[in-house]
Formats: sequence, structure tokens, C-alpha cells
Amino acid sequence: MVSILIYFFVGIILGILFRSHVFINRVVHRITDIAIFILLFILGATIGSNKSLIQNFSSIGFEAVILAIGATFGSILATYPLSSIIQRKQK
Amino acid sequence: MKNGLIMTGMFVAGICAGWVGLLPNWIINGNFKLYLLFALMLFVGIQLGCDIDVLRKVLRLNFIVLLVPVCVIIGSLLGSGFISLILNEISLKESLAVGSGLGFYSMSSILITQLSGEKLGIVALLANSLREVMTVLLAPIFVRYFGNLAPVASGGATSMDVSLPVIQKYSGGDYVIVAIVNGLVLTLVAPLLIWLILS
Repeated sequence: MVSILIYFFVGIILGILFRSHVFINRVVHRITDIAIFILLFILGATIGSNKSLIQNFSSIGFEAVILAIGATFGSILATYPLSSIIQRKQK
Repeated sequence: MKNGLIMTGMFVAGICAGWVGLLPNWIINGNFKLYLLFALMLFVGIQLGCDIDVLRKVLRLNFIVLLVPVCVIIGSLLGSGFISLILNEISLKESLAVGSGLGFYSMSSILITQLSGEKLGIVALLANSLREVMTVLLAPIFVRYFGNLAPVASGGATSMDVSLPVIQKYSGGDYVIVAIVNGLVLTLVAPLLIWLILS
């Protein structure tokens, strides 16, 4: 967790140093997109290669999907009032 | 839209490849994913550093940022608690424990397996992985209907790493620090919540 933040801060410093280079900025955007694609492939592979998860999917799949939807939308709705406050503060 | 289709395709291809067993072990269990995350964090940082204005805006937010993880926790518990009323197979306590994973699937599945058993552990693994996948795939839709903060909330603990690049892309650079603070707090709170609920 700490090393993830270190990479993030190194990135900010690099960004400040190279902020006038439009080309670098564009390349970084592109590479980020590709890295996200690879990450999704790996997320899928982690789920697909988990034998006990795949075998039990018929019995627990529905529960897990519904719980994921419940927790996710609960969080989105609970933070909804905050979003307008944050938007106002950042103006 | 085009990116969304490619991402969904990559995710499905990953499931198939993993299921068939095509992939070498280092991709699934090795450090490959970690290095990819490091690279992504570096890129997100670079994009943020390029935009000085965003950094200034973020400093104006102060304590409100801390209210975000508090609301995310309350929302997750209410949401998963509500689901237990609909589903007969799962008790209130069990569904609250799964909801307390807050997207942190690796930790929550291991901890829940130890405290409650393998079946609920697998439910927690799948439900919390899906939360992460939903955030990455549906971020633009969440932003459109629920505002810029929505992917931060749906990402939960993953808003500081896996979900961060899509948050930056669709919510904007202004939300990167909010997302990191949210992810850090939730990563620390999730194991504690699970333990409190199940013990």
C-alpha cells in the first residue's frame, strides 16, 4: 500500500516537471488506457482460474451478484448528497 | 463507449483464458498485477502533476473528503443489509459481512473464510470482485446518472488503486485525491468491520 502511494507521488513530481510537453501527456493517456485493458484481462483471469469459485457459481453466483449490486448502489446513493457539496467547494 | 466494449471484452476473455487454464502462473498469482498497478499509479500521478490547477482545487476540500468513506460504509451496510431481506439463503449478519468487504476482495474473502466458513468466503470474493469490475466497466454510466463522486463510492477500497485510473478519466483529476483518501480509509476499516460483525 505504501509503495503504491510512492509511485503515485513520483508520478506527480514527474508530471510537474514535464507538464509543458503535450506529447508526453498524450502518450501517457494512451498507455493508461492500454494498461487498464490488461488489468481487466487479469481480473477476469483471476476469477476464471479460481476453481472453487467457478464450481460453486451456480449455488452462490446469484447471491454474490445481488449483494454486489446492493452494496455498490447503497454506497453511490449514500454519497450522493456529498457530491454537490464537493462540486461547490471546488468552484 | 468504444473503450467500454474493449474493457468488457478483455474481462470476458480473461475469465475464459483463466478457466481453460491457458495462462502461465506468473500472470495470475505472480507479481505481474502488482507491477501493472505500480505503472498505473505512476501514470495517474503524471497526469495529475501536469494539471497544477487540479492540485490547487483539491487543497480547498479539507474535512469533507473524510465524510466520503463514512458515507460509503453506511451505504454499503444499508445496501447489503437490505439485500438480506430479499434473499432467504443469507442471514443479515452474513450479508453485512460481505458488504463490509467494501471491494477489498482478497482480504475480505480470506478473513470471512476463517471467521465464518468457505462458502461465505467465496460469496465475499465474488461479490467484492464484482464491485471492482462494475466500477471499472460502468464508471462513465455512474458519472452520468449519479455525478462525479459515484465511481469513487462504488470503487470502495479499490478507489485508491485498481479503480483510480477510470475515476481520473471519467470523474476528473479533481477527484483523484478524494479517491485515494477514500481508498486508504476503507482499506483500513474493512477488516475491522468484518471482524466486528462476525465475532
